[in-house]
Amino acid sequence: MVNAAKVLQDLRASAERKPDVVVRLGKPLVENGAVKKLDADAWLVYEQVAIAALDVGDDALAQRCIQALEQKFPGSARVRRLHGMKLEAEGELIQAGEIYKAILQEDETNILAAKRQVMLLRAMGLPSDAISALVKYLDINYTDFEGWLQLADLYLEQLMYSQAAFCMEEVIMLQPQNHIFHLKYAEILYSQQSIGLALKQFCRVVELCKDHVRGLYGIKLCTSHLLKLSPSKDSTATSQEDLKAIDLLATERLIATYNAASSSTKSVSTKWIENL
Amino acid sequence: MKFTHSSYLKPLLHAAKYPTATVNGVFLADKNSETIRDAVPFFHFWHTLTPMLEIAMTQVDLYCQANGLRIVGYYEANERVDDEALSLVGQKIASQILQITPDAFAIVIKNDNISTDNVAFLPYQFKEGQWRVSKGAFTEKNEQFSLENPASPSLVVKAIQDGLSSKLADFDNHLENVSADWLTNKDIA
Amino acid sequence: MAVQQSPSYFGKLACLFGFLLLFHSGYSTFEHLSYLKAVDGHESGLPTDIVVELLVSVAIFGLGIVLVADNFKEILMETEMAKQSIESLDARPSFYSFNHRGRAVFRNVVLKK
Repeated sequence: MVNAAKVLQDLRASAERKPDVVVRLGKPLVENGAVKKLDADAWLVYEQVAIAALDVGDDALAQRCIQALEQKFPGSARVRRLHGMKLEAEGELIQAGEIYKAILQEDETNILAAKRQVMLLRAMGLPSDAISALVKYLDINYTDFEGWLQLADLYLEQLMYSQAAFCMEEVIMLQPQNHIFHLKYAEILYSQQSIGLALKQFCRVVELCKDHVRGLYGIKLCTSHLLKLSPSKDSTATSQEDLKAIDLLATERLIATYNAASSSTKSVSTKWIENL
Repeated sequence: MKFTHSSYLKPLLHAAKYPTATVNGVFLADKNSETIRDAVPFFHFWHTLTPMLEIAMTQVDLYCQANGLRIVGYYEANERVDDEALSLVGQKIASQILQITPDAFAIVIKNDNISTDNVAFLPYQFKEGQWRVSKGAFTEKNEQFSLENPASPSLVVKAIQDGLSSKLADFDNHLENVSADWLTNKDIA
Repeated sequence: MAVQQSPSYFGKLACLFGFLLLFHSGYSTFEHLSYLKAVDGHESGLPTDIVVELLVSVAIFGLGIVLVADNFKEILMETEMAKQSIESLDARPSFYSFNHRGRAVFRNVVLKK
């Protein structure tokens, strides 16, 4: 039981979405009452298992967890939001919407309900409404980088790359040391053919996180494209010598990474690296 | 197109491993036949972004050249459970494959059928300027799309039950850990 | 690796011993000062043996603490960040949607350990 609780705690900390693992571990804890021994963590586990149960379709388990939370925290907006999520999972979108509206009527600033409303609009098949709602939310809560990340994703679903890039710029302003955000920004830039800028962002990724494989691959891809073009007259563009140097560095680091690991796909990757 | 068990199993395990996300990948066939030998899973996030897609396609191409195979199709499982349309991104990728292979096809995974005994593949072919559903596929009389092993769907259900999907590695996994074998996934029988 | 070291029993023993010695030297000091008070003696500093006992207790206690404490975490944020995956950092848990295939896939699959 201690192991299960530890794994669940790690998953809460890392925020990875692994509903089958959570249900596998959490269902026995909830059903045989062992969860109560976790004291303060028990309520977090109930919430976590409830959401995972919704993800795998175990509505009875979800209901059980929500009821336990309701008994402990009657009238809580956070528990009512869980009710709303359960209705969303069951497809009762209008009823879920009523709950979120009620929460927001009592408390305009309830962030959780506002975010659920955005996803509700998306679930209803109204992506542009979802985008507008999220933009309105971000007008007030512009430091919520999770919101900006979600807006970027909503734009990407519509293949609106430049708007998604703008959102990533906001995220990076709020969290400049996080290499993953630079990575996503770099990939969006590449997707909209801004290869010079993408290269700079890929370099930043590797600067923040040494030997980041995805970043190194991105660098190689960008330098290979840029070297094929004739030298740009733009003074801000990277010079051909610099491109070659960066390319060489990325090649060397990638080959070192593949050599250090026992990779069965090494031959293919090395061939790709050398061909480029 | 005759799908071997491996090429039927891997896309569905990929879909089961990441049930809350869009997943995609490609199909490989023998060089001179219409037997779909295998499937290679690509992504489970950022599937609308192109740099890693370019790299994955080139690497699969190199792998094919070394092993007498060819890229012949594309698969995707949409995030929304009831979405069985070939996405815009999917159409672009499938059209790219079409330029190399005239008999290219796309498969959209029928999310509802993944853990049932029904076939979970919905094929699309490019006809009259558009990607259209190929009707009547995987039925008994159909010659165009069939399963080599008719018991494949039930074997897939068992595999998901046994937790085999956690052992599947896609290109996203490989980029995070280069030891992950995304090209052959030998551990998946 | 997120595994903690198995508890070092020698370390715990050293901590306990060091603490006892420290306590003993403290008590000895108290006794010594009471004795000085009783005989109206001058305070000429602590006797050497108490000082030595004190220093030895600190050394043993220090050794024990070092053995019992967990491994250090890196001071550079870079190493902590490198361990995190994209799925973890791009997660957005407040924005989950539930109309995905999970419910269909796991409907017929019994999730047991």
